[in-house]
Amino acid sequence: MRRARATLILLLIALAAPVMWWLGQEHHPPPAEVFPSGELVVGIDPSYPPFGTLDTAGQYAGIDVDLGHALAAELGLRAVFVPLSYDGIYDAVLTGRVDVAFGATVVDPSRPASETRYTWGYFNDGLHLVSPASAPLTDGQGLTGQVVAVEYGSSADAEARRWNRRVRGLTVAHYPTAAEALDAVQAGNADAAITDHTALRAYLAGANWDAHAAPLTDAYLAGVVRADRRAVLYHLNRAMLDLLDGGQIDLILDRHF
Amino acid sequence: MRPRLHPRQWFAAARPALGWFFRAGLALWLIGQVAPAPMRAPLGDPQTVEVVRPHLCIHTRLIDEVPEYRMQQTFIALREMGVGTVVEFFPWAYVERSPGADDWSQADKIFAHAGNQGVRVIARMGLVPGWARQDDPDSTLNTLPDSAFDDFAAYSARFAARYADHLDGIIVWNEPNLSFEWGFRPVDPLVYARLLETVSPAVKAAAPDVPVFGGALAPTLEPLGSPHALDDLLYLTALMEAGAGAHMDALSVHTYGFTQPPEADPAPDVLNFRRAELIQQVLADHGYADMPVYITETGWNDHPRWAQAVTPAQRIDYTLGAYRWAAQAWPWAREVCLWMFRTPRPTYSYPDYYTLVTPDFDLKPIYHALKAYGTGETE
Repeated sequence: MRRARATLILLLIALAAPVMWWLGQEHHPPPAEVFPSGELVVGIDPSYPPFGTLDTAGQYAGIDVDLGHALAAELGLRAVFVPLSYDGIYDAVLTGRVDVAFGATVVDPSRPASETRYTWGYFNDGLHLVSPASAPLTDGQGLTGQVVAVEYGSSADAEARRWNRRVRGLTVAHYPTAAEALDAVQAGNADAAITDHTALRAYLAGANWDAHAAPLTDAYLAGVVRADRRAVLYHLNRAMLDLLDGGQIDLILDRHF
Repeated sequence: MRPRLHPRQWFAAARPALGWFFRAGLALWLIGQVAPAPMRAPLGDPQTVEVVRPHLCIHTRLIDEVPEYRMQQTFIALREMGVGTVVEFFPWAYVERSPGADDWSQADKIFAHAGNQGVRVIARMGLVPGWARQDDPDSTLNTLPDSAFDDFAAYSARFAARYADHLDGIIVWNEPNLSFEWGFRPVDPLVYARLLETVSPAVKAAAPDVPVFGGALAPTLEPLGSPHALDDLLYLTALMEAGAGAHMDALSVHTYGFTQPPEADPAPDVLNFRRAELIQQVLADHGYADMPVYITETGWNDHPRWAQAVTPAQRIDYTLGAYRWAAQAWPWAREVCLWMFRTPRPTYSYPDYYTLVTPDFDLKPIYHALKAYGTGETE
């Protein structure tokens, strides 16, 4: 009797599990219903290369534009682009002027989730500590007595100045650009450089240099979607994951670096 | 079979454990009450700013600042720069969150610390509470329905009366020639003229000595009919023709250098620092040549990749050059306020490169250069 009862309970659990799993899933109409116009309206900031810019023909171009096209294609839609300034990105999403805004927007956890949500990130633009692969540095601990090159006035400069107060004997060397800071490391004039990931990728794309890059901070770029448009977020995230898994995001990034 | 315990027996058996349970609970509750004391920012002896450069003014962003000591730190740093005036934002939505219930606590702190360091304030008014937008889900904080003009005027009047002794003026709204600054409504100078006509008498009645600034137009070349914005010269012309000059004591101007040096010649189809001269000419053309002009936003950006940015060294040179230019060539300009001192938290984008100080309060090289200029250490 006791064994029969236990078997029955196990059977009920086994039957209930897939039902519970199904209930736990988000269920949304297909893209054709969520986007009845057949268009994915994408907000971009065309003043922010390589993410958003204008090409020589005056057309919108850049990583965010290619990403918008790729996401739209995944969803069987056509991408339409709306130019936004940085200040207007969130308001454009909140008023429904765009389905999603990119604009090289970094995920900001302090923004209210009741208003906007972020898609999966497509690029981590955080700071990196870059050193020769032959003498790799992984964090600030190894920088005692070392020279760190940075672009003057950049966020990397601010980070290096912070370290300078904590690490004994650290020298911060300033250069006019991130590329020149990295040149200094390659030429042996500095032990390491700090740059953001965009500057690093742009540099490495044109340099035959075996560098070691250790991430220091995270700054994930993602799309912004209005919080109550859950179906839009759902489809965009599915498409984004497909693009990430399929390597298309890497191809887009490679095209622009 | 184990004998069943009577509840009284059960309680007697469990009593020692229950005692420890309650003691542990009490200890946890007491530990929970232990919190680090908030950083104090007591007001010290009143200070005064030694103003060597009368034009030197900075836009701050303290209304979102949480730790009060950061406010104090900001005004001390500004006083040490020789900055006698700041522009600060006082959103209606933050103060009157429900009708008639004003919460002045944050504004009070800002004015207390500004006053303590001898710094005066130009207040920018804007952002609409949800109740005044009829809780329209498609509205933004910048959506100001015509039906809310009177309430906005009443808030501005209460604000002006409360802080009259510390105010150099209040700016009515921000960049009304941009659609998104109007909650994506079409840009219409006549609507803004009506807003000035509503707000100005209300402020004058409550605080007669507080000047009302109009304008604060964004520099843009967008043509008539654009869904995004309207050229600031065209907008101001329409505003003056609508008679808005009668409801303004001064004009607030936003002029940015973008990638050009401060001396670059102005032209109607060019955005640069000296576009302010064309703006002032519009005033003069409409009989307001003597109206004071306050540059309430200006500056250069030194982001590494933004298309409108310059290098950090250029930013320093251009900014100092702009102050020298204004001091020599702009007798109509009362203040030139740099955008901006600091943000409470990073945007992780190019707006971070307009600041003089990082969110962690690391002073950028441009801060030191401006301080040397502001204190007369350099010319």
